[in-house]
Amino acid sequence: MAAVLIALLPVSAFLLILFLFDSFKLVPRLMLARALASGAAAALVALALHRWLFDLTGLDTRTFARYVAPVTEETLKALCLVYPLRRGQIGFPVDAAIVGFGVGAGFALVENVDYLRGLNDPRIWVWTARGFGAAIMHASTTAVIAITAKTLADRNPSRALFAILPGWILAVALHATFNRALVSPLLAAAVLLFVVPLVVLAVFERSESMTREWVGEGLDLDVELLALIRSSHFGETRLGRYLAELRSRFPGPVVADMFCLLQLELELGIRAKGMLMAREAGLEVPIDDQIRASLAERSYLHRMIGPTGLLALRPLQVTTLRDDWHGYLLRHAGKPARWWRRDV
Amino acid sequence: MYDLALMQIDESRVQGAVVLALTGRVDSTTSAALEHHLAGLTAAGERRLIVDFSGVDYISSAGLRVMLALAKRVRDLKGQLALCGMGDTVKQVFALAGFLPLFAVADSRNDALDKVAG
Repeated sequence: MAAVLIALLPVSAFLLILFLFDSFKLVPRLMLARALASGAAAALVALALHRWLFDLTGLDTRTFARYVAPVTEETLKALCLVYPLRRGQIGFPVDAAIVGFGVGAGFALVENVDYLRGLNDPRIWVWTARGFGAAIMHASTTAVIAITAKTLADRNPSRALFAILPGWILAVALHATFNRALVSPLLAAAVLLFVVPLVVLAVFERSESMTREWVGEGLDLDVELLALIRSSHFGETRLGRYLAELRSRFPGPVVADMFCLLQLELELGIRAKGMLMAREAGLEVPIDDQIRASLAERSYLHRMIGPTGLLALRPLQVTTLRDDWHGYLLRHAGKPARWWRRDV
Repeated sequence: MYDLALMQIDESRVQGAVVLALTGRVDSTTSAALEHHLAGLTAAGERRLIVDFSGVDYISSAGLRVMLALAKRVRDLKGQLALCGMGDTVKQVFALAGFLPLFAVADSRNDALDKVAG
């Protein structure tokens, strides 16, 4: 057990550093705990699946480790990321990196416990090397999937479902290379330990700077747009003319709700950005009844407008994945403090 | 008085509190100078501050950041900070961002002085 814990130490330390450096407090403790738990659950599924596949295929261990395990394991870990990505719970590459690391660390913990149970070698350094390398590898490949998926989904929201594929392919390739043991496991782990944190830190810094820009400039743009929407000239703008054209395809009340949703998403977006700005300054903005009412109203408007209506609003960038994330951020900011929440 | 092309800062002392009357725009161009000025005041130990927005017709996120940083510093100093004289536009920006609960907001300078009174 001690070897498992030692083996997980670098990943845990790096995860803790990322978590603490997350100046916008994008990842609540509960979300991180869920990531660890889902990774562990994925590892349990992998163990059962591998036993079945071994019996089915009759492959030897080496071939299985090189060609089958990377595919199955990276797929299971990627599935753990689908829910938070699709539900708009991940806003930026930085929280994607933290969640990805968490899933990988949870996976590695269960895998190492199972591996060490079956290992007959009494030398503790063998356990540690294996566990160390596997932990770094699993955390890194899952972080790669998460960061890539989030970045691609942001660039092309209409293809968000496929955004996970390129990262998954890269993760499988990295995993398979690691399992081929082209170099000694310790050397491979050392390379990963050196290279991956540099890559993740670079992503982290870039993401923090992107977040800061988005919060600032995005808030200013949203305020201007909201003022324009509320003005008497809105009908003469391209947005206004587009909404007017929708009247020929949708009932009047639905178009009215579309207009309301446009305003509401902007208001919530401004609030979310304000919250992040305050967190960066070390202050927490309280969530009031008005925000709770606005979030409930947003759900109501989505239902009234319906999926076809929401699709028609896409050119206006209304209710994007980022807007879903605004809602998630505001909903969870309003929850009472618990030991698992981070307080500013 | 500090005079930038787009913003002026008039500093005075009333009943022991430092009053900063801003005129013009508080945006990415002018906020750095405002932040520098406010940092100087708090570094010098000023703990009772009033920022008068009567002459401000525009504030962007850059200005909001400066005010948040000021609120944090004053809170750490266990001081008092009040904002007053906000026009509709400026108040709306603070309200939309959800920042009004973070500050003591007054309609007039006299009301603000009551809020920061020791």
